[in-house]
Amino acid sequence: MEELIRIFPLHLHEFCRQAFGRKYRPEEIRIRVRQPLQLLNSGEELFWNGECLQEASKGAYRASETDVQEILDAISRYSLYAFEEELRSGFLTIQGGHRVGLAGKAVCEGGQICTLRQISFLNIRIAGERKGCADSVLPYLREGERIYNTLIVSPPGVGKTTLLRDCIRQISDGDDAHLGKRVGLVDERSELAASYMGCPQKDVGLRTDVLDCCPKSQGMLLLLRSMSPQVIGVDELGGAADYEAVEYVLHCGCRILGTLHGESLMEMEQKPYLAKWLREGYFERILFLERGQGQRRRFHIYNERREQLC
Amino acid sequence: MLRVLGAALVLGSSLLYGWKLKTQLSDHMNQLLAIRELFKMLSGEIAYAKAPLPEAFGRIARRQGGAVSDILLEIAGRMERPGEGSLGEIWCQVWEQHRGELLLWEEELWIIQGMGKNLGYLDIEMQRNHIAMYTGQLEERIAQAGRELRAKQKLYQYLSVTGGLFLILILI
Repeated sequence: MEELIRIFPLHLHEFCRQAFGRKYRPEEIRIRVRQPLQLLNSGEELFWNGECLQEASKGAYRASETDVQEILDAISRYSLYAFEEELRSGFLTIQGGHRVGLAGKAVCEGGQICTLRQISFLNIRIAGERKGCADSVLPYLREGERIYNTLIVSPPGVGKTTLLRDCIRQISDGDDAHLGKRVGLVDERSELAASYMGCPQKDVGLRTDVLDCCPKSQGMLLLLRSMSPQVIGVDELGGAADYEAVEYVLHCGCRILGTLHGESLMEMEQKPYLAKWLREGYFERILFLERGQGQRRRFHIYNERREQLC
Repeated sequence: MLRVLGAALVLGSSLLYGWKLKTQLSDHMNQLLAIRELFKMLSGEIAYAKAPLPEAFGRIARRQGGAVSDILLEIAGRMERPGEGSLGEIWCQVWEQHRGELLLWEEELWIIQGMGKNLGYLDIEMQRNHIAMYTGQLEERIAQAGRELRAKQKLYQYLSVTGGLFLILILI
């Protein structure tokens, strides 16, 4: 977590050391100007009082404008201009694959967000790497050497990306019973492989080619042409262009493992593209992920006929 | 014989001193040109490569060499370390620390420090305009230094010869 600690001002390094120590498993850090510094740990909120983490917000350390500015300087390496696109999207990804959400004053032109100014709210989502978290899921996602086209669906922050990363790693590496597959990974937000200077910082498998910071729709087609993957991994499908690219990839005989924001089959049926995919059975496995107790996650898997497998 | 040797030494040293002053003038000019080059390359790195500043400084330093290169590498290194303060502070401090290695006038150092103070925060267009404004100020200094260079180089050349001869006459 050294890469995360170094983005904080020096006087908050003790907070980081405690937050990232053995006692806690932090998911998010919320920094709001003039509000208590907050840590989300396995679903519970903790506050920094200057010496230790506590449950009560009373007497908690309040972040200053300078704190936020110093963190922004560190995450952008004093170069916010280089992240105009990311500012428009409201977040940027830092070394280690951690995502920093931003909010402040939006500058708009013609109804579109041009950039963010006076950034006063930060949400640092800590990227988890849980090797083996896909162990219980993978038997449902493949049969012999065949990988099922799979969608992993959950609300934000439940662990879709972590699960997808481990699925990709295991499929790419292979094991005693399965041959390793060539995997192409489109990592638009640098969260999956957490690439830094082009090299993945997370283990995504030995047969995985990563296309970093590339729009998903273009990236899938590029990988298909250039790296002849057997499986394509893609995070957070959303726009119409993504859906069209997915259909193209599926028609080329390549398998897809993707993630999507959502909660239920019913919700998916209400979205035109997803309804079509469900109707025509494009995806042979749809996995719904939800929070269990503490760090645990529960999952339900459906097949292409929308029958629940587990 | 000793007089001739002494006169030759006096003339030699005054010529050497004149040559040193001439070299300092052209080194001053070269440093100004290197800094103008730095401003232009930085503008390119920001506008076309959208490179974060530490990377941009590193790349420019590798291409430039010399005292300016050391300064840029030091700034880039400090930017990557936590708790070093704002970019404006780092920029001004490092240029100030290396002042002894530079042959720049106070006004020229102000231009350089002013350029660094607002780097990083603005959008690309504003960054380019900001750098262009300081490049313009630097161009004026370069033009002035160019005029001085031609005039003063000749002056130092003549002064060193005549000064040497004058000293010899007095001593003899």
